[in-house]
Amino acid sequence: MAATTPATSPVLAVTSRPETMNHVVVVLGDTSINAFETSGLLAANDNICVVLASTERATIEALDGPAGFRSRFPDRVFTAYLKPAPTDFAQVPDELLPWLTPRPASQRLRGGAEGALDRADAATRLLLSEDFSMAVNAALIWAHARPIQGVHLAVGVLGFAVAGRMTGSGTLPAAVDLIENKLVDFAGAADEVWIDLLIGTASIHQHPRREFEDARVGSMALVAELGFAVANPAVAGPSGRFGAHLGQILVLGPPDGGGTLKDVQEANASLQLALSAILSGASQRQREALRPGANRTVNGRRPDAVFAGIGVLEVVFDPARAARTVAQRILATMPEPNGSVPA
Amino acid sequence: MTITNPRTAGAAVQHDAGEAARRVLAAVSLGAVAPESYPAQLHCQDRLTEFAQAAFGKVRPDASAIAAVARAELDDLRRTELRTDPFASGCFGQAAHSIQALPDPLDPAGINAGVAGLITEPLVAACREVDRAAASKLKMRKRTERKRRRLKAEIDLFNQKLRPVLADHIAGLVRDDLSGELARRDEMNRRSQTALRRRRAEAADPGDDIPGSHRFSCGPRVEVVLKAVAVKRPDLLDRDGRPTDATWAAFGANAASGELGVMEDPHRAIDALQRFLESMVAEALDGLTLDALYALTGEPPEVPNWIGRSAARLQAVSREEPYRVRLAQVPATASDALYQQILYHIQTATRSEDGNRLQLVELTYAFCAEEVLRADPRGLGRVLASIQLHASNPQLATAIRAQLATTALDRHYPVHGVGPEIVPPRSSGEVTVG
Repeated sequence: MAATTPATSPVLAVTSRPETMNHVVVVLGDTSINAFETSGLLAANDNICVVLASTERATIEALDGPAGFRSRFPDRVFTAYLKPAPTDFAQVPDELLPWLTPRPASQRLRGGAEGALDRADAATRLLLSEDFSMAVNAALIWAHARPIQGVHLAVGVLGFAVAGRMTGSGTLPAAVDLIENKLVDFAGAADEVWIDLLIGTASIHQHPRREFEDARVGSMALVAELGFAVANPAVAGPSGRFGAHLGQILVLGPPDGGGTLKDVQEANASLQLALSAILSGASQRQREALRPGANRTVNGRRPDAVFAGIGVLEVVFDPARAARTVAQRILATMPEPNGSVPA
Repeated sequence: MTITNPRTAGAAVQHDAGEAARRVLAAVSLGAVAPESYPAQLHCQDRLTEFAQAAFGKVRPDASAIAAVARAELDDLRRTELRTDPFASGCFGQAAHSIQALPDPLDPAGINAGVAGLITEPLVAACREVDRAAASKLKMRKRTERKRRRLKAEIDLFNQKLRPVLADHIAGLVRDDLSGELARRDEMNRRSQTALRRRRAEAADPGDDIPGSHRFSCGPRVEVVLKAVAVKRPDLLDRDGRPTDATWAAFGANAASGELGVMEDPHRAIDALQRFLESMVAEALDGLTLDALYALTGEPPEVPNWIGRSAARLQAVSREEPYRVRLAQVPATASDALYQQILYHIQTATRSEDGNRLQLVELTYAFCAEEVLRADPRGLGRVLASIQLHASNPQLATAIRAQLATTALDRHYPVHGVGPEIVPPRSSGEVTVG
């Protein structure tokens, strides 16, 4: 392979390549929001807009605040607070009811400091969230309407969640179903539309035991649910269209933990790298490689989802650590000392 | 005192002991033994004996001072010796041998006998005459002066003979103070040297990998780092990174500049060697980045090896060949040597702001959900059982329950090429899912 011309800086490398499509990134949950916000992707790519959804009111308020993330990109950042669902579903459309999980009033406000929100709560909140629905709609309009400089107009939707606990893992299938439903209104507006999913699974050992267990279960449940949803879209959500535009499902990190995402810093770095590759691959070839059409298995669209394996290696030059090992090598190869051996 | 050679340390001590004896015996004079206006009856011989014996009792501080000076000078000699060769062991041993040859100090009986043996008949007679003259009521000045001069001559002769006896006693005290200590330090030095030799002989080569901070982290090859150190310290390592004899000398100089006791304790000596080597390497590497490391040595980065090690660790063989996508973030530095190498293999490599951290990721696509779940060592049934209470909506919960009820859970995976099977990860031997 011939090497491409190196750019002088990362930002220049990104902005100088030809655009071919617009992206909507749907970020679910606080961990994912943190990873995305710190990735710098929005600043480096003008063809990306983002929907940030959280069950934590404070998170959304911080994003929407005067100095918040949204204020930096007011036309490309859409936020949605997934507020607690009502205890009474009388006002809810009938077609939604089979996918909602009712809770008694005593449990309605669970979450945050009061206890763990569960996956069903999170999914119910998302399906009932007007804010989220409007935010996705606005984002899709932006992505379809923005003029593009490239060979053709394509729109990519990336669902990004860290299955750390409940919000990310619980809402992702529902979010995909909702997006599929929205895309009906955009049929024909773009040459191609597909939905990729990027999931960071739990493997952060520093978690307290209970949180880690929640994350492990959440990760497994999400993987299994996506499998069932692709196999039978009717069980995934009210639209019955789950998977119609599905592209890649990328899973980062072993569910049992073990080092790929060693800590929050490394998790963010890995997630940002994958995000960066999907959203702003430095060459058109990379983008093509990630397209659904480039993957035989997805293209075949058999009734089972396609998942990804992940391998990570970091090569770190730490002089102090290197000095220990190299000193050991030097010692092992030191010449025989001069002089007689003492008796 | 100036000890220029540990073999003559004893002679130097003896010399200083002689000087000290002379100073001490200056107090044993005619004026002290027979004061002219003595109010009582004089007993010159008794007084002379007392003064002489007392002189032996006063020399211990002098002996300690001589020992301290000798110790300091021998330490200096030892430092000089260490600077050239940390395995030299001449100083303390030879000094101990030389000092051991000094005479024993005298005990009280020996002191009494020694002093008594120097009391001669003329001295006794001179003392008696001065005693008598001092007691006489009609003192004839002229005759008295003559008697005192005679006694003075006898006392000077007595001191002259007493001085070497006292010097030997002082030297003996110094010997008692030093010889054991020097012999012990010599012995400990030899033990430390033996320990260092053994440590060198038994040192295991750490291999060619510098471990990272976790399982999926590594450093550049030892060989490359070693060559970089060799470039920075050609005085200690040859071109291939092999240490030369000068490294031992440098270690000796390092030890000589610090506390000498370190080299008199085998454990501390080994630690000192380890610290010396580590600090020497760390100083040579100071300020180098990952990129600069390869630029400095001219070694090609082991990119293919790194890419191989970043291969996806989930290896559930699917009906489809896995499709691989490789990603990289390369430290952005001035030379771009590393970036160009990575770019040759991974065209989508991007730069990162972290100057010393190269990150490689490989994504593979070929696995269906069931295969992924089957790869879980607990088995699909247990996975489904544990998650069925955590479904995100009632419809999926029902589907999972139905699957759990109907799926025949066999753990016998089809052979390769026919269906999914588990391939253990290459490095760890542990199956992970992800």
